[in-house]
Amino acid sequence: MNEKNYSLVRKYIKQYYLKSKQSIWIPPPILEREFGFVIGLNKVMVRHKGFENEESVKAFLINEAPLDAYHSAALYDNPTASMDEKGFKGADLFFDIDADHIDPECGRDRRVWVCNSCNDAGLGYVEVCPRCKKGVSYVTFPNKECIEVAMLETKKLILILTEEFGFSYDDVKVYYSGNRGFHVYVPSEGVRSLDQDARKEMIDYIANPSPELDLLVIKEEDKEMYMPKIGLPGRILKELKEVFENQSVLESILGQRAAQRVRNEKAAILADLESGRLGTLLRAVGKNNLKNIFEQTLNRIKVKVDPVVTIDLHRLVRMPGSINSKTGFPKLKIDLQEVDADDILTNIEHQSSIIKVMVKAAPKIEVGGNVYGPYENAIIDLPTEVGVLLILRGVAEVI
Amino acid sequence: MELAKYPFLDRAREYAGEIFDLSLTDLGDDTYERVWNRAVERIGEAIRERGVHQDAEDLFDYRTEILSFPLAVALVACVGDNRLREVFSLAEARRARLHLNNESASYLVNLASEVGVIAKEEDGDFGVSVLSYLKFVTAFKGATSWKLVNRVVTKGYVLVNNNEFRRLIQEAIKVKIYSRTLRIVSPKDFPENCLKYIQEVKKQWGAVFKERATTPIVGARITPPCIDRLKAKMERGENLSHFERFALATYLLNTDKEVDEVLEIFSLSPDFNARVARYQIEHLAGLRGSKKKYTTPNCDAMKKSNLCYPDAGCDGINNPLSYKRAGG
Repeated sequence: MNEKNYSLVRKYIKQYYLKSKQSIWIPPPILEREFGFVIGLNKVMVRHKGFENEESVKAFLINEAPLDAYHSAALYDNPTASMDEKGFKGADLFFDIDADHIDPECGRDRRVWVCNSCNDAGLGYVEVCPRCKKGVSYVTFPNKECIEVAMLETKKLILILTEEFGFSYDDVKVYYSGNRGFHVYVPSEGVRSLDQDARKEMIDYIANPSPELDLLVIKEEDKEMYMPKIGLPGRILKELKEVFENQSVLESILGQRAAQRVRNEKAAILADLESGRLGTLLRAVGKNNLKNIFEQTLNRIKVKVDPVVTIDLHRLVRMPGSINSKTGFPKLKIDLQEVDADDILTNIEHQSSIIKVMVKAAPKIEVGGNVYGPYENAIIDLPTEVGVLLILRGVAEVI
Repeated sequence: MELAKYPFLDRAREYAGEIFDLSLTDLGDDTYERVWNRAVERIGEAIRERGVHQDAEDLFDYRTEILSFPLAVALVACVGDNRLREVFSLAEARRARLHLNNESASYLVNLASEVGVIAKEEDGDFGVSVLSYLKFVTAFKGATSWKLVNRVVTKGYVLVNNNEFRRLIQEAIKVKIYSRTLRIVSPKDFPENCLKYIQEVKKQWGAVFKERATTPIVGARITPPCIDRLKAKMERGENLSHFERFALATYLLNTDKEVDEVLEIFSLSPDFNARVARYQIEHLAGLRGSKKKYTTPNCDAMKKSNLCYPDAGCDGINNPLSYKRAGG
């Protein structure tokens, strides 16, 4: 980003903090949180800041117009001291779900390549820069499809946190990250004493469940095997049913012939699974196939959160209501019951000003209910938030 | 009587306070000699036998039982050695566990809440709140059946059976006692004529743990971080899980340590029993039974048990034993 672009972005961010009806939110107690900001054209990370209340944070945001703003998930005796002297008191529980991690293919057809050497850019796929034959990087944009993928995972996570871990819906706060993902934040007293090991255990359960099935399968007196219909085994049963209801999925696991064979017993298997029993299933597919089916099922119930983020107790979390400098969009609290993937980008606030930009390349994007692009080497007037998005993604320049 | 069995409960503290209304400095009187002696005995048994006996006769003299506990805690705190803290709290928790075996379900649930385990009865079994479960179960690292993925978790509770519930309570008791021994107590807080009890504890502790603290463990630096951590944990006198011990012992044996050297290292364990430990280590070394020498668990298994903390030297290896070569 050059100075001219930066100064426009800065102005946009300042305006946002001055005028937006979105307010920032910092989980109390603010006094015990560490704050961090990315400031200036050179993107300097300033950490170990402390504030007394939301107003002083807001004043700082308006004054400095930082590119990014973060607060610690942790609470400290001295949040402004160096890491060794902070006096760790505990940390809220935090999950990060990002479309890029879930499905690298997502939004592939809407990428822009940017040359690492001459900064030329274009739509679609190229092996090397057509102009200077050097390597290129790909730039992605927030879009409905990717947001939907991430939202689905977020919903899976929320179900586990509430139905299995027993958190109340009020304790589990969900945010659109401002780019292609979601943040789930649990600022509840009870989680703060969970150490890294405990969080790792939690993550294993959520993101990478590989249970010893012998321990979850119970043999009844009549020698029938069954699994409890609650918790993780309950989710496994439900997913098993989906596998058996979908012949093509079943074929991909068992192969065509074996899948055909069990077809006749499908009704009996499904009825069995409904009551938690595995006997008919085992007899129909055999022990080895059952293992395969279980493995595939477990793959399907993984919730694709970023494990590192949750385990790191000293992580800085993007501040709710603050601007995400990857897009210029704010991180926003959402209600999953009321909002669907379509609404996320539609709800991006319009700053009622227009800027003129030179767009090297941009795919079709939907922001605030309007559609823009695709553009290639075009000089156009765009709503500020759209222009800023393209500048921040490195595919446009202010003129 | 109840508080004599569970003298670590806050209620016992209050009770002792009410009956005796005394602080440490008031306990110099000869009347309390018997209590001091029992306090020293508790620690001595913990050191020598990794347990504390308590029979009907002891329980009958419940005042001595109740008051000797905080005195023992004060003595352990005053010596200020983390390994002694670990040995003492584990031994006391084991003593309490024996009583737990005779308690009713509803009593257990109550007692659990007093040591920080929130739980409820659940169809003949128990539900332990997820947060309590996670807090205490990490001490059983690597034990497959305790992993959350192998549990039924519903509505905020993890289902456990009777035996498991008591094991969890034991762990919570240990943690509670340990944290009480962390209080800063100096000899100045003791009456003059009771300083001899501190000396006595130090003597007993020193006799058993002579020079062990200074024994260097494994040639440094070339050890992978996972094993380093286990080593450090052992040195701090913390109680390692079965799997952690297995990993550490097999690593040491496979890096050319002799059974006696490994035994020496394991003697730092708070529940060390020389005879049993020797048998187990010899078994792992392939000197007994099947004559099979066990290898160190693969990185995958370490990961699965939350014991993997990789650094650059771990790139591309699949067993901790390969660390040396890969890491240079």
